[in-house]
Parts: sequence; structure tokens; C-alpha cells
Amino acid sequence: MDVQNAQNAKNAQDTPNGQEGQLQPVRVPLGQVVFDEIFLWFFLSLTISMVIYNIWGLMDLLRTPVVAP
Amino acid sequence: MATAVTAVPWLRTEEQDKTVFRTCPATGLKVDVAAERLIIANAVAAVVFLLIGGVYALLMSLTRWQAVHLLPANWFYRSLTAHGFDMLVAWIVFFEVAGLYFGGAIMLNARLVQPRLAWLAFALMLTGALMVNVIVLMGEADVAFTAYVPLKAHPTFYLGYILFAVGALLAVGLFFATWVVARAERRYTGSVPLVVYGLLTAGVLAVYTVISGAIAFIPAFFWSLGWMETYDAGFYRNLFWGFGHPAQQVNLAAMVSVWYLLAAITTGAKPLNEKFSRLAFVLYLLFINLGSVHHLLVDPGLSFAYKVTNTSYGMYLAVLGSLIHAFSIPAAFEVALRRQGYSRGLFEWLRKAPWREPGFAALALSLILFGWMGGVTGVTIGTEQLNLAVHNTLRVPGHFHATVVSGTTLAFMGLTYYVIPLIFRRELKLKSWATLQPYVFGGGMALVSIGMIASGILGAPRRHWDVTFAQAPFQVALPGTIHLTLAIFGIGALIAIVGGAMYLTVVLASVFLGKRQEASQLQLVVVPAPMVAGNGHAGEADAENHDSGPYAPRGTFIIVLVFLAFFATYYLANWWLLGRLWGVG
Repeated sequence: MDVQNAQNAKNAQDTPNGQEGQLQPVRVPLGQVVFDEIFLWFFLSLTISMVIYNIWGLMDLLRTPVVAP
Repeated sequence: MATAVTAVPWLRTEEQDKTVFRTCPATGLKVDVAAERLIIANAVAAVVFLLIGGVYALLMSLTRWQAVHLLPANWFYRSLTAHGFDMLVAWIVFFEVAGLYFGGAIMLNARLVQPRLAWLAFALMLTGALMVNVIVLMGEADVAFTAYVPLKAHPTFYLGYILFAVGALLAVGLFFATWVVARAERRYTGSVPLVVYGLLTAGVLAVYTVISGAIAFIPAFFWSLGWMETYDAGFYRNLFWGFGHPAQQVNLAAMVSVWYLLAAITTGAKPLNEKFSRLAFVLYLLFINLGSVHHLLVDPGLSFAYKVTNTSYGMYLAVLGSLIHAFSIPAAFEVALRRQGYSRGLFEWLRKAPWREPGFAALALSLILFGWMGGVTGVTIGTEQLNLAVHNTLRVPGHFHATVVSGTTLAFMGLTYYVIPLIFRRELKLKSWATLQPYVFGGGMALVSIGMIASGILGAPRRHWDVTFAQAPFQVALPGTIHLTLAIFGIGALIAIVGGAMYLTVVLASVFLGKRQEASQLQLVVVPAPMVAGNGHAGEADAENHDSGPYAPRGTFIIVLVFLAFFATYYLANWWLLGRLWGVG
């Protein structure tokens, strides 16, 4: 989220009917910026699930010795 | 009526110009009429599949209850397959797609991008779901919901799953596109609301889920056609549970979002600390899919390190996320109720809570049953050593009926009562039934889970037509008390089915017979008292008030301590039971 959005968010809360008032500079906390990076979490979520669950599991199975019939 | 839209030159399209909004008088939100129609279509499909799945639930319950033992074996497995698909996939996913369109378009005052593609997604999902149901009814796919290889179904079964998955993936993609466009068009300011953040979490989890489903079922489709000679059972199980378990985590994220929404609607609650609530959703995103290994804990070929890393070290971080929500949601409505004047002692807010409001009753019961029964049993089952005593017993369905049915389904049922006046724009009929329904359904489902868990502890298997082995050619020493626990399960199932029928009656009566009208308020039965101090906004000043003083959630803190004591007792009792399973020395 950019600073402009944060300004708008604050002013939307402060003014009746969500009308935009006088914009004041607002510094967005780093934590909020990070939380809002949905596509970063998207990438990490897919990567962690695929590496630790899928690939590791399939590698374990591939290492299993095959018993001759 | 068409309303003006913010000009974003690179996004200004013919479709944008044609978008028609109405303003909801109860919420003040702008509602994209195209999104509204899609929400109605998906919600109706969800309820229809809930009805079909409910009929199968009745037949199966009366078969597992050995005193009745209704169905012959082939029809039991047929019902098991269809019930699993209709409830775990069709009902839930159709409802979640409706929820995603609601969160992406309506809660953000935005337009749904490409409604035609959304209708295509709906058609694909509906076609896929019908294909699965028909081929199962024809007796060509008695393979259970899991369809474990080498059990082979008719190719139509796998193709139905694949079409449904493609449709669902398209719907999720449109939800993300709607959110991106809403942000670009400045339809909302600041961060998205917490409820939408939860739905975005559900959307991300859904992408992994659907991709995994496709990777599992496309080879199975080729194998059923004879194009592949073999399909390794271990590989299939790994790939299938990349779909089967994360699908329930999509439910979890969507359900928690619904909890926050119902708390806001019924009590005026605001999240106590948005940062922590969002952190809890992020923990879901990063770690919750690792819980899929629960299903593989007794599989050969998988290393101890793999099993323990996934189900313990990784999974516990996701459990931490659930514990955060489990505290913050009741604490939020405790603070809201204390602000309404119910601040005497530890629990006046709980006694004076709007228990007659259907959404609050559904929220409270869903929270209790999901956390105390589903969550506690789930973490216990996920411990590798304890899993040896639990795997493939009725304790497993006892656990997931507490999560998916008592938790997710009950929360979705509660939300439906508010969707009818707000989105269908119909008067809610039979309000007294709607008030009673969460208690009937939740009470019945509590007995179902208790009966299944107790029967599982006594040794009853899951996915089995003859759970006491009464007709087996060999003797199995199951204690006689299993008939009591199965009766608890059977009676609970009948009560829950009555609750489900009440829900369907209220929904159908309202949609078809309810007066067409605009909603004038959010609540259906109990309107919250005005806040006696402050306005309930979760700002810094309120955060200070929550730490001490009359509005601090002291009652929730006590309840959480009791919950943790119960959790520890159940967990340790399972180790004690494990120690008595086999004699050593």
C-alpha cells in the first residue's frame, strides 16, 4: 500500500460520509506494508508447500528400494 | 442505476462503463449487480449440493449405526463417495466462490471483472459436479472420496473432478483480478478489510489446492482410460492430499473470515488487534498446507524427518495462527458487549450476548465445536506416535466432522441468513426456526463427533460398511460399549439432519416465498444496544482500553486458560492410552 492510500484511508475515517478532506502525510508502518504484499505471501506459500510437502515427499518415495516380484 | 467510476485510463474499458451498481441501504456498500447474480447462482448451487449430500449423510448414518445397518455394502460405498464429494467439494466450494465474489467485489465497492468468465467458471463447476454425481449413482465409481489408486473409477469421475477444479481455479483467478483492479481503480483506500484479507488467504490456499488436484487427477484420468499402465499409489497419495487436506484449509480461512464478519454484524465487534489477526492469516499461508502429511503418517517409504517436520514443526506454527483467532474473535465480541453495558463481573457479557440472533448462535457454536473438538483432536491426530492408534479409525471422521461440518458448515449456514436479505433482497421467513436451527444442527453434530471419536477409540474402523465386523468370518474383540457410542453417533446424526432440514426450509421459504424488499438493517432478531463509551473503532486509544479497565476481555482470557487445560489433558490422555495399547517386555 502506498502513502497516498494511507492518507485516503485516514481521511475517509475522519470525515463524514467518507468524503476526502485535507490530505495529511501518513507514514505507513513497515509491518502493514509487508502484510499487504499478498503476492509475496502467495509466492512463499506455494514454494513452502511444494518444496517441503510435495517435492520432499516424492523424493522420499523415489529413494524407496523396489522389491523384485 | 449506473454510477460514475473513477477514471483509470489504462483500465477504462467498455465493460467498466457498463458496470451497474446499486447501493445497499443496510450497509451503504455499492453492489455490482453482475456480481450479485453470480453470488446468487453459486449460493443456490451450494445449497442444492448440501441437500443431495445431506440425503447421503442420512443413509450412511443409518448404516454405520449397527442397530439399523440400513444399506447393503455397495450402496454404502456409493453413498460414501457421493457424500464426500458433495459435502467436502461441491457445497463448500460453491459457497466459497460466492464468498470470494462478495469479498472481492461488494466489500471493496468494486466491479467484478469479466462476469462472462465467471459464468463460464460456474458452468464448468456445475458440469463437473453433475458428472461426478451421475457416474457415482450409476455404480461406476465406488472408490470413496479419496479414490485411492489402485481403486479405479470410470474416466467420467476423474474428468468431472478436473472440470470442477478448472472452474474453481478460474473463479479464484477472477477474484484476484477483481481485487487488483479494485486497488488500481481506487475503489477502496488503505489496506483491505480484515475479512477480505482472510478471503485473499483462502484464495491463495485454493490455488495450491486446485493445482494439486489437477496434478493428482489428470494422471488418474489417463490411467482409467488405459493410456497409462500403472499409477504409483504412493505418488497418488502425496498428490491427492495436496488437494484433499488444503481444500479444508481453504475452508478454515474462509470460515475464520466469516467469524469476523458475523461478530461484526451481530455484536458490532471490531478486531482487537488487526496486526495479530493478519499475522495469524499469514501463518496459515506459510505453514498450514504442511498438515497434509497427517494422512500419510503410517505410509511406508516416507522418512521420519519428513513426517515430523511437516506435521509438527511446520504445522504448529499454523496452529498458533488458529490460537490467535480463537482468542481474538471472542475477545472482540466480549469488548463490544462490555461497551454496550454488559461489563459486570467476568461473564455478564456472555449471559447477555445475543443468543437468539442466528448469526451469533452459529458463530459461537462454530467456534466452540471447531476449536474444542476439531482443533484439539486434529493436533492430537497429527502427532506421529499418537496417529498409530488413531489412523483409519472412526476418530478421524469424528475430527473432521467437527471442523468441516460443525465449524465451516455451521458458520456458512449462519451467514446465509444475512445473505438472503442483503443479496437475494428477500425477507427472511421463519425467523424463529432460524434462531433455533444453529442449536439443533450444532448439538446434533457435537453428538456425531463424540460418537465417532468414542467409537474410534474403541476400535471402529473408518470407510467401512461393517464397523463392528459383525459379519466378518473371524472374531474381532470390540467391547460391547461400542453399540452405545454408535447409538450416540446415530441419534446425533438424526438431530443434525433435522437441523439441516430446518436450514433448507428457512432458505427455500425465504427465497421463494419471502417478500421482495431492501434490507433496512443488518441484524435479523436482536439489535445490539448502543455502545456506552467510545465507538468501538480498533484504534490505539481503544487498544489501551482493552488492556485494562471495564472493557478488557477478562472473561475470554479465563475461557482460553480452561481451553488450554482441556487441550493438554486430552493430549496427555492420548499418550497414556497409547502406552496401554501394546504390552512391552
